[in-house]
Amino acid sequence: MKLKEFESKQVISSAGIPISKGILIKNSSEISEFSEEKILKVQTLAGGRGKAGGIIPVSSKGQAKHVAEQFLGNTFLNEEISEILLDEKINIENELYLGMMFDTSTRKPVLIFSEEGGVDIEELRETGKIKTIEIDYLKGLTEFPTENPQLIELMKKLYTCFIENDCRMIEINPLVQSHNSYIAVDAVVVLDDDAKHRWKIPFEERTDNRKATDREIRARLIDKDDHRGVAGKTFIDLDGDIAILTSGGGATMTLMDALIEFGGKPANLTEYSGNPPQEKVEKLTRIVLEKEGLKGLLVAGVVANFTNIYETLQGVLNVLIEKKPTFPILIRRVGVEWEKARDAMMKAKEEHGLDIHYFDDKTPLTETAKEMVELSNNYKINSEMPQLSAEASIAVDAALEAGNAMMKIYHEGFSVSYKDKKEPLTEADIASNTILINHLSKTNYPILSEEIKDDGNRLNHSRIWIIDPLDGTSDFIKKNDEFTIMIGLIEEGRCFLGVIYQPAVNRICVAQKGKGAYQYKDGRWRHLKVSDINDISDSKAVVSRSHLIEYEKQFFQNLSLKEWSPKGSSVKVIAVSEGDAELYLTTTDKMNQWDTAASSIIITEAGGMITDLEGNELLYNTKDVSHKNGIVVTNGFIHSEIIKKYKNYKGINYGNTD
Amino acid sequence: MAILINENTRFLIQGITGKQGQRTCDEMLQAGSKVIAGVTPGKGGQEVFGVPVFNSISEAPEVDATVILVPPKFAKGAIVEAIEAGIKLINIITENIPVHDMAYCFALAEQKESRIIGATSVGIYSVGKSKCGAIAGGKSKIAFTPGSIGVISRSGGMACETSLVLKQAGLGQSTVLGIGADIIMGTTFAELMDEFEQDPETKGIVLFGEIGGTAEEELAAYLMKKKFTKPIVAFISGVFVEKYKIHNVSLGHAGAIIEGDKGTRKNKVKLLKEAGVIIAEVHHNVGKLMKEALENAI
Repeated sequence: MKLKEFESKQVISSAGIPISKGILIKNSSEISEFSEEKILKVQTLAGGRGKAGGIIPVSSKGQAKHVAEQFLGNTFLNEEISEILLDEKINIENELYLGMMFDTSTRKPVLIFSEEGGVDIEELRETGKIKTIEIDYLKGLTEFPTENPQLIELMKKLYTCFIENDCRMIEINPLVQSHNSYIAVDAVVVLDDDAKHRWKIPFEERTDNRKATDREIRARLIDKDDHRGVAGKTFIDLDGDIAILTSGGGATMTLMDALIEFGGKPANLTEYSGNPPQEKVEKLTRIVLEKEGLKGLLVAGVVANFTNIYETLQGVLNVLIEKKPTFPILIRRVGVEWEKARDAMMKAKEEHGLDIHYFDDKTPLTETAKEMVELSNNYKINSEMPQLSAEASIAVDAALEAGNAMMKIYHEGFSVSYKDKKEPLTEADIASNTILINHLSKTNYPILSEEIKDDGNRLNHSRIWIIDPLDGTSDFIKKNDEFTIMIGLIEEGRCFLGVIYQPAVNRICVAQKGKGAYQYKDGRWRHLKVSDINDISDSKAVVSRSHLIEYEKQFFQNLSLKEWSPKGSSVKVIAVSEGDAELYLTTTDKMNQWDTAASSIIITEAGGMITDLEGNELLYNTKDVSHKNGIVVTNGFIHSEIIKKYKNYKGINYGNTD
Repeated sequence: MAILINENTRFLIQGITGKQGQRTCDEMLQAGSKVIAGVTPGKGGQEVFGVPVFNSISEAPEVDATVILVPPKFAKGAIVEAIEAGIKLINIITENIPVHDMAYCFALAEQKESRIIGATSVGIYSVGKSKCGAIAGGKSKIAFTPGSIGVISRSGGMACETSLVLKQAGLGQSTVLGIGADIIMGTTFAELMDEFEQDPETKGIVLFGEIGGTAEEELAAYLMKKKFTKPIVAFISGVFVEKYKIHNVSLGHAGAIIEGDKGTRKNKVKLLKEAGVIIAEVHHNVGKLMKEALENAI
């Protein structure tokens, strides 16, 4: 436990080390008249208070009171300030440094001494000015880095103080030389928590610099009168949205690391272990689930030796049944009676509609962090999505599930084959297609997919789905993250609803006719809106990453655009829809309706335009599914001018398409 | 083979009559360990699962190793007794022993040439042969299977999980041990490398490290100096702690002077990588990475 300056000085002074004489002030009314200048020092646990303005010379009672009032009861360096030291001003002839701690590599105490002290002492590390003496614990301090008898005496006292007070560290900085004596003007002592039973001064317990939150205080109280197992001893409030109930120290840290690695944000840190009774786990669960805006709960630990999983998880389950949260709950617990615990959880899932996912030792601990982040992301997307229609929800669910399957293949490896000896195909195309069809079949509308043979039945229906299970297979193979899943719902030849999901960055766009276009990105939903740039020379274009031809390049150069850059798949249309670019144009005749259906409604609802190169509207669910005459996507403001310019360009360069 | 302990190792348990002592004794016997004596002052003459209990080590038969399960306040006395009795391997399971008590024991052990594993060690398990401590107790047995990977972990729980992930990757373990996560540890990674190198059964090593202390840096320095022929895969936890600034007690200038950049995850990972250690960014990849490393080695 780290001590504040006045407490640290209390410890070293009791060992006979001279300290500057100060008066501890808890209330400004305690300050009495003084004549000589004094130093007012704010008592913090954090270092760096001098640089932050917490050490102030004062020359009168009035000034001292005024300064003290600014700090006492207020927050400084993230700490609530309750004490100030009104310290004597020492005439400084020389500042030295004296410290002692354990060196973890030698397992021995080490004395640290420098004839130059001060705030940036560690910068002298490489200069040789800092001297260290390794101490044999059986012999004590027998060697000294100085010949000055006064300093040697002080070092002996420091060592005795270190041993007798069970210190992990003592630091006197500066040690001031003044009128032929040495005085500790500032000091930090860290006591060993494990030796609390023999501390000479019973200092009050503290956990860190920050004032504990209400939840933290209540969680720590759980263990107070009940010593069976541990629950809530460690509890830290965090700013994320995934609630945490883990077991075991190393497992907790490893899981938290994994959660962050996979993009999750923990709402708290807490831990229970050592087979605590049900009531304690229940109390802790209640505190963990109190937080507003949670998007998931992760209950996990390594295979437990003796913890009764059924008993402990009953504590969690009681609270879940009472609160009935709608967010996903992921449990990975194996130990005594874990199968019974799993069955109880699965029963509650059925009976109370809880979204529980139970994992056992077949799934590695950190793999569950990944699952949690995915489940929580999907929940966030779904629960906060603008209400559009039943079909929109179905399409989003389909895209999310297909995306998760696709990402698994993306990370774990895949093989590439070529259909018609041209177009690349991977396991991800097939897996995504199967999942999308499973979901979309709930609606009974026919499905036109890039990956299924078209039997023409769709032509008898006014509503059909048009899907591209993996748009940008070449980007998928190149692993540049720019591939998407596209789902469009067509009504009477025009796209009515569109969903584009880019799983590698977890962003999803959805738009419906007359209801606007939206994008979920960086953890929240926003309106999609094109830019209002109306001058081509200010415009940016996005172009095909893999199919840009010289004929197109020439055209873009002639346009004198501000810039143009390559992007993969339908990510290009999203760029225009969100105002990052103003133009996407391709002259190819290889585009098909599944490549554009979802994009067409998203760009339109975002305020932009999509046509072929002659400015004609794109129509869907026609007999021929290819777009024979290229695609132009703009923010709308520059559309007619681009069409005109292309017409001129084509007139001059016709036939020069390679 | 395996390292540290095998089917012939004769064990003493200090603190055998306590709740944890009794349970550990039972578990060790079931795992095939030769527990030949226990010590609890004042309980001499009793038996725990057929193992005779003595008042002091001097009364007990000679052993190769002792397991310390004595409460923290009395641990120093028990460890000193074991060192003075000349026991060469001391595995300390007890947690929360004051650091000054441990510093004294380490100095004495160095003088008398005893080796201390711990404190706060989960134990040592030479899989399928013999174990000491709480490791592979109760349900957690399912995580272990005999094989060729040595595991050294600063976390007890993660020694089990690391073995489980290896098992899922089709790799069994030779010897698994917890070295504890106290600020000063009796034995660290580097000090186990010679034995793992010489053990013909061990084909690779997996480590679980943490931020704080200098054990990982010392391993990196060791590997730069000495030839180690077997692949090493390590996971170093601490991304969360560093990102959210949840530090243990800061040791101020003194810490910065003695340890410099050491102790941070970034520094540990950098030095270990330079020394040829394969780093798993996510824990469950340690199995896959070790498998690949073994295949590449062939």
